[in-house]
This record gives sequence, C-alpha cells and structure tokens, in this order.
Amino acid sequence: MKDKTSVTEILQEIDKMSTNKEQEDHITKEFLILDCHSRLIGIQIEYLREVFELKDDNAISPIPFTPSYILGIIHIRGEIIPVLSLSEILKIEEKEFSLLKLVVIENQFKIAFPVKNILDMKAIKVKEIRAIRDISTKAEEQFISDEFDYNGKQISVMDIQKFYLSNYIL
Amino acid sequence: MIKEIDVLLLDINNKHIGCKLDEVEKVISDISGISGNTDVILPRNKGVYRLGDLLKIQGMVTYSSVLLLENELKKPVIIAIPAITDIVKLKTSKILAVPEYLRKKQDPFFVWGFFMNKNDITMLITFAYLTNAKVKDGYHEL
Repeated sequence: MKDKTSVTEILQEIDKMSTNKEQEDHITKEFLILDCHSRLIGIQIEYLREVFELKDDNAISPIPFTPSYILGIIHIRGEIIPVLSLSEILKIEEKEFSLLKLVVIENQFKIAFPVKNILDMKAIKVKEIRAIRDISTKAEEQFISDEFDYNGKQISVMDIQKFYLSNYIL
Repeated sequence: MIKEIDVLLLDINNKHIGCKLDEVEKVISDISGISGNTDVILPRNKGVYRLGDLLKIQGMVTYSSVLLLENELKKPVIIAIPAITDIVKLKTSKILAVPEYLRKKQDPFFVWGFFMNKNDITMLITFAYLTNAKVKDGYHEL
C-alpha cells in the first residue's frame, strides 16, 4: 500500500515537473529594442521609465568637468536627469547621424541615453535568450552577457544592474 | 521667509548660465571691439579666463565684458564673458539641485544648481575653485 502511494507520488511529481517545464517555456521577459549607432541593444522594460523625442542637440545641457561619457543633463518636468553616452560606455563606433530619441531608465536613480531610434518593445521567451557568442570589446563584456534574435538580427541585452554597479555610476 | 539671491545671467551659444552676483567684485561691460580676443586689454599673466573655455563650450564666443573676482590673496581673477543678458532676483526655493551622481562626478565642483528662466534651463555656476573660496561639502553656500 505504501509502495503504491509512493509510485503515485512519483508520477504526480513527474507530472508536476512536466507542467513546470511547459510553464517555463512560456515565461517571457520584455525588452525595449533600440538602435544606437547601428548596434541593436535590448533593455529590460522593468528599468524603462520614459522615451522622448529629442527636439535638437541643444536640449542636452553639457556639464563641464565631468567625464566624457556624461553628455550633460536634461530637464524633464522639474527633474534634472543626467544624460550618458551609450556608445562611449559600450565602445560602439559612432556613425554620422543624429541621436533623435532619449531613453530614460531607472535603477537607483534616473539616467538617460540618447539613441538613434526605438525599434520595438518585445516579449522574448526566456528559453530564446542565450549567452552572447561574440563579445567584441572589453566594455561590452562588462555589461552585455546575453543576446536574442529579432527579425533575423542579434540583439545584445544590456545588464542594467551590472551597469549601475560599475565605475560609470559609482 | 524665502531667501532671494541676485543672479547675473549670460548666454553662451544658446546655453544659459547664471552666477551669484555677490561672487563678483566688479563687472566691466562693453570691452568693445575685442571679439573673441581678450589679449588686447587683459594680459594673460593676470589670470584671465574665458568663460566659454571654462564651460568647454564649443564654437566662437564673442567676449564683450569681464567679471573681476578676488581670490584669498586679494589678487584679481578676471573672467571674460559675453554681454550680460540680465540680472534677476531668484528665490532659493526655485533652485533645482544638482543630482548626487553629478556632484560626485564633477571635479572641480562648478555647476551647483539649475533654475528655469522663461522656459529655459539655466545652469548656476560658481567660480569658487578659481578663487580658492571654500565650497562646503561640495554644496554652494547660499
């Protein structure tokens, strides 16, 4: 009798594990996919606060005596938000075009990145996110560990938590 | 009672700058004809700074006035500036603080606050680091 119960329990356990696996297959993470100098970056939606159109370059006021990756500040509804260069942080080669949108993210505090364009907001199944295969620079290695495919293109996932713990912030 | 400070306003290449008037010993306006060049009347060995250079603002700046500041040794520090746009009374409650992150990253401490003036964000700057005046704990004393 005891053995029969055990077998039932084991079968139930197997069934539960199978259900969990099916559920896991459906777990997704949402990303904002952005274009920064033709490099496609994914930022998890949980860190995203706002996206703005940049009217002109003058909207960002430069702050003297700060490191070069700090482009300046922007004033949004009574709040002063530091604007940082994503291309300099990730050592992405800068191309000749304007960065037209501003992405505001928040972990411990708000910061903003100017980008060329926002491509999409997409839920990606966790099982489709993989460890990055080719890390081209040391800077990327620091903040980009995962990637996923989107419309035949590779999207590098920026690890915002790691970024907020880096020397760029601390 | 809300405290007010007098702020001298300047525009440099469409950037709006303000500095506390009581930091300035004297303002000499209209050093006319000295576009982009202060050498003629202000020899470099007298500690002449151009505000555009200090703010790392790119592009041509027309200097038409100077500010005279005094350092701890009572020697003048001269700042070449564009024409003064205005002098306004600013309620300290209207000043937006510099985010803590920028306080840490800014060295020397130059921009100490912001305020909105006619829909434009204006940076409040201090010359304290040029004159060796003290800025308490990175905060400008009002």
